[in-house]
Amino acid sequence: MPYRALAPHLHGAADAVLKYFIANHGIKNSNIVVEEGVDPNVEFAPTFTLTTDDKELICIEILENLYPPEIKDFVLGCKNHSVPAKLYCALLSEPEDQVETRAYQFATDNGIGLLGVDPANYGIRKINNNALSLSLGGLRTFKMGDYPSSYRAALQSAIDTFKNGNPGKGCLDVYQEIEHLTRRIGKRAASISGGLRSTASFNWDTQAWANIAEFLKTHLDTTVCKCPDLRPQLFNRIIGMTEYRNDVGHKPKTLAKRIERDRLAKTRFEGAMDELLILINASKPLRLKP
Amino acid sequence: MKSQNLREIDIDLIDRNPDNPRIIFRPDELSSLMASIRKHGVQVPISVYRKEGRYILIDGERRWRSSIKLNRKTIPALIQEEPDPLNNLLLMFNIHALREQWDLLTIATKLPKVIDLLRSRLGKQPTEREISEETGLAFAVIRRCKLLIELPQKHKDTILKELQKPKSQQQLTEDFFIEMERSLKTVENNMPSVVEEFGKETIREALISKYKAGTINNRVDFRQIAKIARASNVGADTRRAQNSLTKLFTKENSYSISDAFEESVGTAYVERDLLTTLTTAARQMALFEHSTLDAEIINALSQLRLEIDRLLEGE
Repeated sequence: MPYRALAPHLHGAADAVLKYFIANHGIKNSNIVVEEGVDPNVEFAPTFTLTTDDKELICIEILENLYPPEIKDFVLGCKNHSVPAKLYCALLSEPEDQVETRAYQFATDNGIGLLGVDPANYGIRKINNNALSLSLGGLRTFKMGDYPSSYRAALQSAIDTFKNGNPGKGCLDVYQEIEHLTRRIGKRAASISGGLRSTASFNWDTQAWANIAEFLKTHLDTTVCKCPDLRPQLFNRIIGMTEYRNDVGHKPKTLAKRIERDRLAKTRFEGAMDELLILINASKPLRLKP
Repeated sequence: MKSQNLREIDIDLIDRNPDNPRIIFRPDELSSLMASIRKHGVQVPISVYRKEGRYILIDGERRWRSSIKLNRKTIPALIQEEPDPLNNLLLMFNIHALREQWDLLTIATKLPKVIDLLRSRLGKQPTEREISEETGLAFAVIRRCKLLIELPQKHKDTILKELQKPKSQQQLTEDFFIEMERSLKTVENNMPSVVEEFGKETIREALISKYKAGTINNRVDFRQIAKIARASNVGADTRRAQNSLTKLFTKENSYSISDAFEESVGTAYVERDLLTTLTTAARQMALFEHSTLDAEIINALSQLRLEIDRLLEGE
């Protein structure tokens, strides 16, 4: 490979790592670039960038020491600009060398894959192979303690699904929690005398989620139900969300579309998490059973 | 240079100069440079010359490499005229000799080519002064380089491998080999039979092995080998000195340079130093009169007289 910036003594290790990725990911030669940036806004050019059929970028950096400051800047840059790159750091080290705990933690926290390259024979070993898309890893940190315990496992699973490369499904999982709660609010209000201003019969289990939210927006009597925060504006926001409910998305055809999809998914996921918390708190006076 | 102009040029149109003596680019050093470029940009333009629609680097390979890593598309460059092969090399030597500390091996690798090209230009073997004037390198640096040039290739490879490590982790450094080679040259000149007995390479292997094992723990100790080889200069027993060197150059023991020095010439060098000190002191004392001495000197002289009396009476 024609390296320009990589130190000459790391060339052998770099060749071995590239061969390993080609063998394991079936990347075509035309989808491999050497020492080129992944995005004009990200000030770093990894040693290799491989593009998968899903328009995901696999970035590989060959290192002697974990982690030079430029790696941290790269991670931050990809998160900020929603670049769908998975980063692998290939570390030149003896098999018995231990990765420093702090460095290992940094890799885990940021979804960076770690490989060890034996300098004697360029044998590759996995240290931590859990590389996640950095565009999705930039998700805001949520305080799980703010959510009732009955929600926490499902929400944590939604976050993991999102970060593990399935943002559409992650969003869907949160939307389902909101939908389920909306239906329970309707049922509960209907069981309170005068809780709804309409006597029309309504199937809370089978009606479309958007219709339920629309109905509650119009007919919920917040005074009788003693839940003043379940305002029409909140239901309006939920109605707006229902149109994304099944928008899990198809595989993006270009890198630009993937960046756009991830950026949108991040905004939607964070928005849905926030609205769920607002809805949970607003419906507390109804004393819903989990 | 006849003319040069400053321009922002496409980073992808630049190629490294195959004659650049610098061959080591430590990632940790590039990392610091990248941090600086990210913050302040490339403050000092690189130097290039134009060739066949592209640009060849004269100066600034680290800035160029760092800029590639930082995903920069252009870099400020001074564009010069294409130099002839000798000037191409000399330019790089002068730029770097004046500005930064190069690894000696990188200079040593290119120095023979400079000497060859100078020989063609001058029509004779260039003197050290001429090499120094043309390259900007000090005499001492040229001599140290020559010691490295003469090393067998496998040791040069060892140095190269060490140089790629961060400085704090380097063990068999250029300085180690330079000190060892210097001392072996002295042994070769003063006690050639010892070197002939083992062969120079076997001696190197033994000393490297002892250094790695910690039997030799300071590369400056090699200077004591030279002192042992010059045993006759201090009136020490040369046969004993030869025996000590023979034992030292044998791989399979834990006999150190200090052991060899103490057993052979240590006392002789102490005596010589004492003699030098006493002779100098006697010469200086002759310049004083009793009336000019202050109490401190009188006290020191009294103590010295006690030691002198003790030694002479013991005789």
